[in-house]
Amino acid sequence: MRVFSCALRVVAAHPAYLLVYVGFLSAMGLFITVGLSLGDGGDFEPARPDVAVVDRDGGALGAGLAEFLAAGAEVTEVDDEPFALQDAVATGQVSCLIIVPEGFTDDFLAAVRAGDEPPVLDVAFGPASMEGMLAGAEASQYLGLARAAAVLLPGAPAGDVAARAVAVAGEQAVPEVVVPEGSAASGNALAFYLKWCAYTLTAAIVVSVGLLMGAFSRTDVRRRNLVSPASGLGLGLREAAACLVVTVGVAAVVAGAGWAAFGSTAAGLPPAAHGLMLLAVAVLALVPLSIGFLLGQLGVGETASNAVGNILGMVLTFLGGAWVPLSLMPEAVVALARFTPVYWYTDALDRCAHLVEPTTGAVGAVLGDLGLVALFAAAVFGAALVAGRLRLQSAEAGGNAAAAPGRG
Amino acid sequence: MDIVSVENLVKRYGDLVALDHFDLRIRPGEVFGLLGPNGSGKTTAINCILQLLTYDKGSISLFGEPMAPTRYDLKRRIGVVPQNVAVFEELTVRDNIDYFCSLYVGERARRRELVERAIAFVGLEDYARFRPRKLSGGLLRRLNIACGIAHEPDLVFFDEPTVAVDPQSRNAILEGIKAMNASGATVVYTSHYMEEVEEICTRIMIMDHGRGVAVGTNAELKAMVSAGERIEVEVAGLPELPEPVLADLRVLPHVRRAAAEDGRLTVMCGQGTRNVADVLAVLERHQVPMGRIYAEPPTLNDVFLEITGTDLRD
Repeated sequence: MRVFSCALRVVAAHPAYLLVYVGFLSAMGLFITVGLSLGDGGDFEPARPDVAVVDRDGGALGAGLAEFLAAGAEVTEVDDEPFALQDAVATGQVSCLIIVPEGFTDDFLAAVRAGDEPPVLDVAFGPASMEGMLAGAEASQYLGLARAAAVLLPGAPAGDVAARAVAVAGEQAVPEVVVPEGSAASGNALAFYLKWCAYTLTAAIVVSVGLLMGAFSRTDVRRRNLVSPASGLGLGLREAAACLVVTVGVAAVVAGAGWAAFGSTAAGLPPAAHGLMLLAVAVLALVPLSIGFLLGQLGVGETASNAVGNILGMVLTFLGGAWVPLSLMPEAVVALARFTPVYWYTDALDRCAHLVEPTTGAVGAVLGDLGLVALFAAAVFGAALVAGRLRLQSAEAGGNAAAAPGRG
Repeated sequence: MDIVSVENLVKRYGDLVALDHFDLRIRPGEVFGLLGPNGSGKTTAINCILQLLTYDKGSISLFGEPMAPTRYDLKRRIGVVPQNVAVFEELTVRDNIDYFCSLYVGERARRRELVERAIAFVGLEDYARFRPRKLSGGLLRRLNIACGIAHEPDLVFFDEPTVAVDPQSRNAILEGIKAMNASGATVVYTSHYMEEVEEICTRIMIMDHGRGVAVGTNAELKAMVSAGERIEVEVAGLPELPEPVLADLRVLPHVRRAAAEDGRLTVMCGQGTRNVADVLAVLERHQVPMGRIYAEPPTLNDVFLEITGTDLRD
């Protein structure tokens, strides 16, 4: 009997689906995870906002300010014209525009040394980002240092005060992100990718298994199989084996891509955590397998399988908190999410990503989550068996009802 | 020994009786036709024989052995060509035939030989690598047949195999069935098309309301009823046939009805050996100018009409 190879050929006859649902969606998951850079180590890169300093004073403090800002920002030239200044801020040419008023240096030093409140700079921020605020804060920091220098050097000229402020500002700590092995953050990227791929797994497996089962469940093909000397059990087992191979294949590609891309960032996790994550993927894959099996039993067509795979995949993945954290969701949504398998899958992955020591309690909690996922799959599989039996008897499938008088 | 033996088969759906103490015997080497209108029980009977349906009462034997859903040894000797095309859209013609053949024949080398033979039998050599969606309706029907007969069964059920088929493919299918029968297979053929049944079936059962109302050869069935020839004569020169001519025709021994309309005389006869000669003699006696003359023997529809009181095509 060539049931097994025939079943696999049915799936292989739709390479576009495999390419889109497995290849493209997995790649999408990889890019999104990389783009989010989930704090699994790497270098710290400070932002460099675009800043313009319009120095109407021409004094030492204005020049010192421009020099100071140039170290951490891109300093841009802007004409000192009302329209040009407005345009620079409004169009986002600069994130922060600082105007040093005329006489600022002298007034600042005089006020500080007299113990009075010093004059302030005119500052405008662009609407596009928070970078401008950061540059404004840097300018305030510079003036604070200049103020201290002016007080510490009471008779010093403005140039010395400005030079002292710039020199002191340059002595900054260099930030570095260090992620110790086994820390909570080390499995975040891998876990996020696997959570995102709940959609990939659902859509790809539902469509593939739905196609496979649908081909064998077509009414007349099914009847042709039934009148043959092949036992129903034998046929069913071979179809099930083919479904399982397709499911394992899809899960292996999806998980393999994840470990290839993010496995090294999760190297600090204990082997048990990796094993449990892999188990989570395998158990979740049983859910779309059972849904695809159900669709096949119901005789659902190719287009409907695609629709169900996609829509259900998106809904389950969203409700499971794989795309948007459930902490941002209303209580009702969270309550509803608990009745979906992906919720427990993401919970299991979160536990795995933060698993420092594979204690009985920690591993048990993960296995408990996965047990619930498996129960979802079992429930759908049971419904599929009932649906298949009912359909076999239905008129549409040519069963008993089909032979009722009036049908020939 | 009968190839198919059905005794006293009863199949009920609530108060409705689909098969009412149905009996059927098919001998080896026959092309047996099951003829009947929709709802007569043809498909139900076949589904019961194939164990696709359970039944309330009666017994079914194939090849002299009691038939049951797990009699795989008997199923191995049966081929089924369903009414609808039952193939995998994703597989090629050759792979489809190979798959269905593999349900019956495990040995790969033997199967390869059978598949090639089946492809040649239905004339699909040039399309072996095609997928079904690229085949025309007639070619699809041929593929459907090849999938059902590739394992060279001893008994083949054809369920309306020529529905929606062009005349050329229809003739090819009927010739194929004859060839298969000539090579030793027993064929059970259901159809609405009386002409096909008359052409290829060695024996015919007429079914109505779940029972076999008549069974026999084509000639035997026609002999069962009183209907005889239908004689038509062109009388172009006479728009109105004189009433005395019609009166003389109506008193002939086997004439049931005689009427003339639009220059054409139609005479319906009962069983008789000299009907045509008698009618022509009357027309000659009255010097009626005759054109072309047609004499059609009774059809199965006439038989069905007389036995059941309804038209077969209803």
